[in-house]
Amino acid sequence: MATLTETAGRRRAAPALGDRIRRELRRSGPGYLFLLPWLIGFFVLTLGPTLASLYLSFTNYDLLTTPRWTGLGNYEYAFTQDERLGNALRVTFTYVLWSVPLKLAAALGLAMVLDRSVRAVGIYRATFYLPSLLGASVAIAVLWRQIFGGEGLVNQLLATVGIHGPAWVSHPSYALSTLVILAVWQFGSPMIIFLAGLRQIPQDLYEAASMEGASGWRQFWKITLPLLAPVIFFNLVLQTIEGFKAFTQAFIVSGGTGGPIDSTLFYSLYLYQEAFANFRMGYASALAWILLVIIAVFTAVAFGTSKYWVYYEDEGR
Amino acid sequence: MNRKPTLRQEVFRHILLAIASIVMLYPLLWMIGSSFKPDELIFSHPTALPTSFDLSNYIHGWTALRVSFTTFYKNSFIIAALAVIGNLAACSLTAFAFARLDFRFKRVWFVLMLGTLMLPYHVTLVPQYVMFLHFGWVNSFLPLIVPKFLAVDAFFVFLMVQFFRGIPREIDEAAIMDGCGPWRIYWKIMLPLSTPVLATAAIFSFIWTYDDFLGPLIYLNDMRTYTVPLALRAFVDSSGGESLYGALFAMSALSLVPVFVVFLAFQRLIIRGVALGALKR
Amino acid sequence: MTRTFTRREFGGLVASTTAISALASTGAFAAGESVRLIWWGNPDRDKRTNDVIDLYMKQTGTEVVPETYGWNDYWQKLATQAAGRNLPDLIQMDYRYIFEYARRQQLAALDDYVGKTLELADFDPNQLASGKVDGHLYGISMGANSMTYVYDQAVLGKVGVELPDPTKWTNEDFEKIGMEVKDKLPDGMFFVQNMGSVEPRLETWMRQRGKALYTEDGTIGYEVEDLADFFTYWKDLQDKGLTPPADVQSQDADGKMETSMIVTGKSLFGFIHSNQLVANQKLMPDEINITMIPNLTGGQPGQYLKPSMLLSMAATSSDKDAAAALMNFFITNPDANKILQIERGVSGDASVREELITGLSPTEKMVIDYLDIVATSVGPLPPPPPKNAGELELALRPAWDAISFEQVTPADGAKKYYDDAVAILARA
Repeated sequence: MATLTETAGRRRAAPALGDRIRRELRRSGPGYLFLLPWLIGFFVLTLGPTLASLYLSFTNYDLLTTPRWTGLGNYEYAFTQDERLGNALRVTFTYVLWSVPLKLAAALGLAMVLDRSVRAVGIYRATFYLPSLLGASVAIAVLWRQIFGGEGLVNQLLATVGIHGPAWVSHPSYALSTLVILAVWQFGSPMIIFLAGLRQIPQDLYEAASMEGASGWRQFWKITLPLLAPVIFFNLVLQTIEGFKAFTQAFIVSGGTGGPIDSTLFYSLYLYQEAFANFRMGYASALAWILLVIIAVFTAVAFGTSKYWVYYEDEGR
Repeated sequence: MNRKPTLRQEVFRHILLAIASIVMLYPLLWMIGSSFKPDELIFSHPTALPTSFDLSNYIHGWTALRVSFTTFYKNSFIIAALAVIGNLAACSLTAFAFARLDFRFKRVWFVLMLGTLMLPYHVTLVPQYVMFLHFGWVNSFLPLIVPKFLAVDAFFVFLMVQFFRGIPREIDEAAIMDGCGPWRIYWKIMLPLSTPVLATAAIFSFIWTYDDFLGPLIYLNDMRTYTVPLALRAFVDSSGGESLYGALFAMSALSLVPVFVVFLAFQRLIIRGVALGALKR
Repeated sequence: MTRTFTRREFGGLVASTTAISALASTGAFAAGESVRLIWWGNPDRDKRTNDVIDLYMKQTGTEVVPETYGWNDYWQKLATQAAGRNLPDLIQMDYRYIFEYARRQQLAALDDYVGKTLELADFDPNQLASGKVDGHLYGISMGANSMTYVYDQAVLGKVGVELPDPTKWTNEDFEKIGMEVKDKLPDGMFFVQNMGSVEPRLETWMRQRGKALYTEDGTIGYEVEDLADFFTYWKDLQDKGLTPPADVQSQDADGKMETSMIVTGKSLFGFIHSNQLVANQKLMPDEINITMIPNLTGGQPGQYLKPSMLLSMAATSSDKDAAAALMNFFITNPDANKILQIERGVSGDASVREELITGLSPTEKMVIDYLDIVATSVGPLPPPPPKNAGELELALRPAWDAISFEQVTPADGAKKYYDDAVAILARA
């Protein structure tokens, strides 16, 4: 990569240490100066607490008394005995597997509809983005029950065609689905990003294809999708990471219980219960690290496979 | 795919969009409708349309807590505005370093920076609190603002990096020929050309900070320093006491207005900004 | 070049930090006379508490800094503060958590203040005992309450039923009435909410049999058969159509009043604590009333007078004397209590109760009258819950749901919960 500070790469035989240091400083100096705020932030605000939590995960810290070292005890318990953990993983994976593709599909679909010059497109854009603003609001819990509750809107609509629906939001088989719907409902952010990506695609490509007689569907497959791949990748990775970390919606809608029957016990919610309701912060820290590893693995895989289906126009990553 | 749409197609599209909009907005409409009802009717007669428009929830709700919402909005705006400034300054500097400069261990730092995106919040919650407590920053806005000036939001760094990489290097090289150092390039070339992505970062930064609830919960003690989302939580008493739902809905609806306005006003910039940043060249 | 930048950013940072500090110094941490008080609540309680604080500040000149949050967030905030040794001076405590905090040395023992700064001469000794952990006093009850069956008086009148003597009626009586009125109830309304997951009801059940949820030494206080009987009883009522079906009942996900079966018109009878009556009434147009829990035929008194919440002092409080003075103000001062009234429960201080009676609304009088009746038929306070008691309460809900959704039989569900409970208690 071309840089601004690299010298012309001439080498002399065995340069003195002082020279080498000076050369390094000259090369890396400006970069590090620009990086300084981030470095401070990283070392003071992030790294310290992160390492502290790693340490805590090997203790039985209960928040109120001094931590006592327990070695791998927490991890052992997590992997061999904790049934609720297995359940939490299942719930979270199901949630991610359903909500992310649906959310991205909705985002992409609406983005494509809004990409044409529809009149008042600005209002529609804002309308579809609005639910995302309600994100962590306390009101969501109540709203969601009003819609998916026993006598909620959904059941009222179903009743008109003679179907008697269950109380979706409080039924163990369906509660998670209502949370998936909640996630998909808030597709505003990825939608905006898709819209931007679509704007990048040159119109003449479509015109040329039309002239050759290609149908709308074909154009989508052969033009839109490939050229949109980097944006899809970006959204996919970020939404999945968010999905694994999801907490607030489950907390609010289930009242912090993860119910009914732990059917909405998201991983982060379980972690929170262990930490703050059961005073087992040491164990919760271990859980947090396990989640981090899971996310990291996923992200690495995503990046690794991306070279097969995503390509950029410049040479880099 | 982009033939000029016929009138029929356009009307059809509008109808679809309108229906989709109503479906999307129904929960919100219900909330707003309920905000005009007195508390006893909200749950016993849960329809979206109120029978009469009663503004008392709004009036009462504004001052229902000891501190009025004027203060809460003020606090929210101050924190959000400062967060925006911090993010723009710090993240652009960091992104410039990653995108344009070379230095030892650059790859390592970049991967670590991306790694911070993956941290669950609870990993660092308590240790960070203890640390800020030692600094004496608890019960002030500092823990919520200072990190922004230290580029803690990796999302924006990532976004800006992508954008900067889309600006042709020839411009930089021409400047170097003229004897510009990295700072000049950053200040005089990169930033002016990056207005769209900066606007994007500003808006998302504003909205996300404004909506942030966990940070204020942990670090703010005195009610006079609360932000709007935090104040809204005080309306609901899950311990079985009495909650003010009408006021909650009224204030929640109102709290959407600033972010909505910000979004409406700047959405064009967002589209343009993200377009050049999101990984496309 | 870089120098210009650093100076500029530094200048900006200094400016904004100064601005922030100016803004953040609204709650001035004046070294010396300043007491922090934290409580959970709702806008009504917040207003009353703040008024009391203002009164105190005016009378004594001590600065009081209030903090208040919703119930869900309260414990997370408190735990975080505790981890940082930054607890507020006075803490509103819950009966379940006080043991956790006291046994982990987070609370100050109040014994030395009793009779001096804490003027508790008129305070009911039984209720005072409710704040004792391991023989020392760690919190003072801010109000008593007891469990109730709440019912919609208007509907009851319409179906023409009179309830028997509350201190004497039994489960059989209750069920009999239920079968009689079952079909006369309005559409969608069932006789009673299902209480299979309501731990206080379980507690009454056990106490009526002479058992308890926990023993003094923190082990489980009943047999698995007692639990199986409880689950069977409620499943039976569900099958007979006296309670709402499983999915309707579980809409009441977190015990919030506004989603409870009685408020949403789905049941005639519900379960609340007596200090929730006023709030509950506000949510319903029909008039409601309360009565005691039906007993087991020939059973022992199942109810007791419980502290609805307690006021405790942090062990790390820097000015314990000032904190104790404020505590005393809340608990015993008549003017303060005229503002607080019975929103937190009925005060244990007899002189305070006397002063209050005259200014109460009819609904509030119902509460006091009820507690007078209950007081004639109560058992002693249960032993303090062991360290992991909170977990057991949380786990009851999924255990019951599995039964009511017919994934397991009551007997199997009881066995599973029982075994889990024993394991959890052993882990403490």
